[in-house]
Amino acid sequence: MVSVSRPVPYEEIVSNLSREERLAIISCNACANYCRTGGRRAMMSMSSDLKADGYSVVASQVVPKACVLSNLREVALPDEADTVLLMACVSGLRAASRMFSGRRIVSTNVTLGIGYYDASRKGSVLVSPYPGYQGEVGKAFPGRNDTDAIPEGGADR
Amino acid sequence: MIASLRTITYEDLKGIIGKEDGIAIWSCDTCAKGCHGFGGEDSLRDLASCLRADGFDVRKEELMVASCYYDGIRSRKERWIVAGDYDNIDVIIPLACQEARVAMAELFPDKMIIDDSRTAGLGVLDENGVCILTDPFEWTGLDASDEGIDLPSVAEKLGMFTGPF
Repeated sequence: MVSVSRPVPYEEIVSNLSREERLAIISCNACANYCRTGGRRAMMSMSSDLKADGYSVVASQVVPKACVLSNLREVALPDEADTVLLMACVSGLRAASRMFSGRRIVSTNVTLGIGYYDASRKGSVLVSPYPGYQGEVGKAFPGRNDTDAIPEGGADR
Repeated sequence: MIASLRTITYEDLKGIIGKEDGIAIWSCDTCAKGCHGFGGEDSLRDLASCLRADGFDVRKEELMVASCYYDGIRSRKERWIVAGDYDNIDVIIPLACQEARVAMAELFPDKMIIDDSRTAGLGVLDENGVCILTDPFEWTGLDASDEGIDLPSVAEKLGMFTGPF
């Protein structure tokens, strides 16, 4: 299971948020972690940046797989949270839309398609693209520009 | 998660492989398992048992947590080499998604990798532990939705199959 994603630019994400909103960040620890668009480290970085820019982050939680409904059911979302900031692929977004139907959900990622994870290339290699991303086939995301070798949990798979 | 469909039947499979072939069955225990049990341990053991009963030479049964992990596939390959088994395998039957098959084809260039699955798109794993297709690829002609489409319906529309061989 590797859906391949890349982050929406931070400026674009915050342009969809207001500083009055109370944000809950949910971050996927599976495919998105391999693409560095989810997982604990990316979530902490996002939370830190948002707080530094004056946004109200009231909760942040990593889930094993955001595309698994039972994983999202276990999320302790605070009542005060207005908006879920979802660090996952489009599958996670679909699952979150089902599970948190009363909240606004903002995705931090763009899903390019499906592929496999290759640690030697430091990312997930796109094999089967969604429309608009055919030109990205064979590339690794995030790829060698990232300094981290293996994401959290990578050795377990 | 990846929504995978099976593209051939057991009878088709028997027509592709030969009784003189050394066969490895390679099963993914994540998405493919969630696709009505196309992958996973039960489908692996059952297929191995059926093929042996029909006179085929199944020499390896590999269950991998996630077969889309390139380095994990390479690690299993190295184990085969160290154990002296690598040259005894002619054919690999992947119970996995087509993206895993692409990785296998790169790592096992001298083996016949059976083309037995197609990825219909991405989906969610519902409360029953079954994959629902929510974001189909364009070639399926299906629409994306939060509610999604159950895989048997997708398979019927596309002339494919779900579940184990």
